[in-house]
Amino acid sequence: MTQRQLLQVLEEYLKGRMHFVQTMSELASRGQNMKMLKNANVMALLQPLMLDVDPSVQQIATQALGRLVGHSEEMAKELVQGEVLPQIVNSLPKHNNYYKKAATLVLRSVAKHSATLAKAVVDCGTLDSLMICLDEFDPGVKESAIWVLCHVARHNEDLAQAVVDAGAVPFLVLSMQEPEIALRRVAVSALSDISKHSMELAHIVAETGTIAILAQMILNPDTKLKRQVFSVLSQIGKHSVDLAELVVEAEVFPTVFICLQDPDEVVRKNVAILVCEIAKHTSELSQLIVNAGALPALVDFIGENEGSVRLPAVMALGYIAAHAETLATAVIMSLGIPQLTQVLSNEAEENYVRAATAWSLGQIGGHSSEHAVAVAGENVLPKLLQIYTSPDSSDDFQNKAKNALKNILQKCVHLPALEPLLRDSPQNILKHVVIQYSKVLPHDSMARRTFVKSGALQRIQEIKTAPGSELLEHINTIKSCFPEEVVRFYSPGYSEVLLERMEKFNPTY
Amino acid sequence: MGHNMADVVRLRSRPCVSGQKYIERRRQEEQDRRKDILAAITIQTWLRGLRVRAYMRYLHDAATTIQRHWRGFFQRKSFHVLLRNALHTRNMEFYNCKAFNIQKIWRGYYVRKYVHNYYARKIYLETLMVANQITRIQLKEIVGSKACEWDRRFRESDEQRMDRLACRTHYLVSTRQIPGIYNSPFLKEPMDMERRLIEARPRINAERFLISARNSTRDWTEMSYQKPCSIPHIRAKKPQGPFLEQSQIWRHRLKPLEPTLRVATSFTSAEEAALEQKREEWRTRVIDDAFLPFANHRKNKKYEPLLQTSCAFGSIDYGTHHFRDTDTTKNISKKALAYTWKLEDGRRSK
Repeated sequence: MTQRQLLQVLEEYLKGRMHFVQTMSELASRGQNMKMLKNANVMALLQPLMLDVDPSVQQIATQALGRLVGHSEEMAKELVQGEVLPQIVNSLPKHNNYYKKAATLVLRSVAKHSATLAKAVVDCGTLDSLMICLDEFDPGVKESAIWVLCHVARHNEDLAQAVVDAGAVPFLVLSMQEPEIALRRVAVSALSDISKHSMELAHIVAETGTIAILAQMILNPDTKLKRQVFSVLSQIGKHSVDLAELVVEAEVFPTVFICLQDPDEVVRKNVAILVCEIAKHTSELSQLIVNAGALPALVDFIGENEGSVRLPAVMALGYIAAHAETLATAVIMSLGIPQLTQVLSNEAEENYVRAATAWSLGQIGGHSSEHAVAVAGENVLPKLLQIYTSPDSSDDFQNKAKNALKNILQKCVHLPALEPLLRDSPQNILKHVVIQYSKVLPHDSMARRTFVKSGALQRIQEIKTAPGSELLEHINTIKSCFPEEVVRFYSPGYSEVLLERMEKFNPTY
Repeated sequence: MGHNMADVVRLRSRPCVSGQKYIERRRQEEQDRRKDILAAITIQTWLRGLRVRAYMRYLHDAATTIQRHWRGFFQRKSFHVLLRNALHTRNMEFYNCKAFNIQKIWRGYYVRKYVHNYYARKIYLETLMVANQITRIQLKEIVGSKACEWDRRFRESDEQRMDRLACRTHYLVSTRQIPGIYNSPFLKEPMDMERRLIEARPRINAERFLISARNSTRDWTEMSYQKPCSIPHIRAKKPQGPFLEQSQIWRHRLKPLEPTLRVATSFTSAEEAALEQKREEWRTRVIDDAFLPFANHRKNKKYEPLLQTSCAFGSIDYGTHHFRDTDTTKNISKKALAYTWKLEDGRRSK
């Protein structure tokens, strides 16, 4: 064999390898081919090619593996078991940018499936190599590295803590301010994944001055960036009052309401979640938000959107109204109640949105009798009763409807609103309706008149009660407000009694 | 009657003093003696009584005088105390009235200003409604202006997407032989995509990089804005004298009220809290039926007789009649163990 023949054979071999990895890479980018590739045991073939002599074969093999693993969890487990990861991690700092991108693709694909896999990735010492990657100039490499961190930190608190301990946060903050949009997006999303787990992590993220930078990014035209920005802000603000105050101090608030009408649905939902998480904490924060003009924005938001997008806005209204009675009045005056009743009646599929609406209505109406009257005025109480008694509402929904009903009933003294509840409520609700009646009727003669006319007196006497129960006492109190003849006239079966008397009566000539 | 010499001389010298009259007189005296004694006793008792009564009267008067003087002295002394107490009570009542007045005014002020300020709340709600209107208008404006931009960008991105698609699927262009899929013979004119396919030109690698570089929009908009540091005031003339600083004075004047916990709690707070707790409990209660104690538990208890008595096979003697094992299979001798003891009359029992 001459030199030339040897070189030729080697070249053919190289071409063969290149061809193989390139086709594998292309095939792996499509999800339909996964089963075929798994059956053909392509993983075992690609793994040794990752340590190939030729750098381009290496890179493309790694890329192919990354794509393969990204589609299925079993292949990721196989890869971890094959102990290839430490080799990848160790060789990360040494090779060029393309290899780094491909290797980080593999790491990212492995880490995104589950927490155990992510832990396996971290255990190989990935984080240190990634820090070296983050030091590079090339934004593509940085982006891939940050993406790995993102996927690792997403799963649970320990992994996020590991990422923070490796010193990632300052890098992320710096990357957020780079000009490249893709890099910023991924940096913000990594921060969001870190800060969502616990208060300490959110504190660490907030300490590095991120909130001010994020606040400036709110009006950025890029949609995906906005999604992530609002997601970070809401994750930071949700853990404690101090963090929420930090977010509010960054003067996000009137500007945020502009994005409530963004064309992208996810951005709108994230903004609503932000408002909800901040309003949840204390009444001062809710007041701040209301002063910044949240109420018209939220009410319009509820009116214009559909489905689960409205859920955070509805809950935000509920939290705002729950904190203070003035705020509840403000919600009522901003025409929140018609919107909420519309959600309650029109929302077809998402029962949890209706449950949240029921809860919010209960919070609004529970403060005083004026609030209860305002809430009951929109025919809300019969709807809540219907939800409570219908057998096909879920337990949680029934509970919420019951709580809301009880909240409103405790304070409602507006009799026309209570009247429909007399008809078919269960005993426990009926008792309180009757109690409310017995509070009002002794003092108000007009109310007594309407009570008798509407047939409610008859209905009350038809209620079956156990003797000696509280319900009977209250019914007696109500009965004692009326003269005896009236009570007897409206007692059930009075017409039969009269007919009997008539039959027994012998007219004397 | 003592007879002395003078009497004897006198009696002897008197003419015709007959002893007869003397004896008669003596006899009469003897007869009157009793009467005289009684009379004397009567006179003496009456006199004694008189004397004693006079003495008693004197004593009573003396005692009354002493008591009168003592009472006057003592009451006058305690009158001062009484007077002081009465004055004290009257003063306290007066002060209490004034204090009630102050407390009444203070409580009204405090509640109306800090606990439930009706007018402040009214003004707040009214301004809030106005602010809401303004917010709505502003939002509409901003969103309106942004909506044009959003629309434009969306349409542009759509255009670009279609152009890129045309680039990638350029082979779908229609030829003279075969009309392409976008050039149906049933349509009057070919679809828009056809035009794009015809106009599509192959991209060179360098161009591709340029395009991608241009597309990653560089954001120079968010340069960080540095707030200028505040310039200190120009002091023209130093104020005269060692006065307090203006800022201090104003701080003192505008110091907000920091009520103590005692002042800030309303004095029906205990009842209100109890009521609130009751309401909360009722609201959150999941199960409304009361948990009834097992009141008739013991009454309704059925009598369960012992197994021994209720068992159909009766009970065995062991444990009641005898306590010794009657199973003789394990004994060395096959007979049951017999015990005998001596009775009184020398016999032995079995």
